[in-house]
Amino acid sequence: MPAAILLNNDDWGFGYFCLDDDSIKVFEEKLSFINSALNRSVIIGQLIIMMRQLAYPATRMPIVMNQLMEEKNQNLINALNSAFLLAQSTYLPPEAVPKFNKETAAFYFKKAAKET
Amino acid sequence: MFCIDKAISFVTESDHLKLTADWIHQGKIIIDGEALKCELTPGHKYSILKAYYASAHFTLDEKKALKEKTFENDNSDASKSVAKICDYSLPDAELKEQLWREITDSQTTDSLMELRNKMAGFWQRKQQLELMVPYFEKYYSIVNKIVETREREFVEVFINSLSPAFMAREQDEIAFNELLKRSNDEKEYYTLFLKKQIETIDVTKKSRHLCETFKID
Repeated sequence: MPAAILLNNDDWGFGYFCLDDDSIKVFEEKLSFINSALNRSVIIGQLIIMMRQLAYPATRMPIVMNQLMEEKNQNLINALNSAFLLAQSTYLPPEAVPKFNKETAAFYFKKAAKET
Repeated sequence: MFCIDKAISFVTESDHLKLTADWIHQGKIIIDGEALKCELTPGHKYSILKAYYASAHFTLDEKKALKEKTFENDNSDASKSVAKICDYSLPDAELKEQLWREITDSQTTDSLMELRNKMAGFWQRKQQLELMVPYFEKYYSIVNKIVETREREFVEVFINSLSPAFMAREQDEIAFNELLKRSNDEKEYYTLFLKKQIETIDVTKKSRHLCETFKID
């Protein structure tokens, strides 16, 4: 059995995809090791869709974010950032927002310093 | 600059507010002792100043000093509007009460722009949730009267800006359903708004449950 299954490799597919728990865990920890920017984008897009479909908790989004410290693709960061703003306004319990904001701002500060 | 731009929307925590306020005071962005090559835009400074003012972690003198520095070479209309929002956003229960009275006063002579500023300052769900709580019930008890008696432009800002739907409590769901039952098709935009709030509450409730129960470890 593979450790994780990459659904919709190279984004050829069109349909309803849902990552299983084992794959989620692998991608949360190893997303940055996937060479193809397109496949990284497919996985992040899938997790964002799953958050919106209430199949992936918004509180775990910072785990995904921390895999993107070296990410150069601004479109990908933009997509994730839009999901963060949505999480902040609707998907996170109000009491979880301060911790989420703190982690997200800290990530961007660190990334900004690295990219200088 | 791309990352700084993104970070600003999430700066609410006191250490981060202090860090970004220092950037305004020093005129440069410094992270971990190193100055970045980019500069804060006026928009960034406004966002930082507004979040700093709404925080309970800084004194009024510190807030005034930051405001003075932010606007030292900025006499734009936007800066004047931001200055007002800052003054309206202080974490003070009496100020909240006064603003609520002014916002909901049907005889007000304030312009729509001024009322917008007051609502923007009043509503601080990220940093002043406890101060907001008493106004959730007040919102439910007055919103129909506002919709019936005030101009639509004001109504749309009021109902959207001050909605407690994000709390997604049982009482929020009941209150919005009750408002929907009593609404009529004459003001379709209001009926659609109420339906949207009920949908939001449903999503937030389910999402909260998922956040609390999801386990894959």
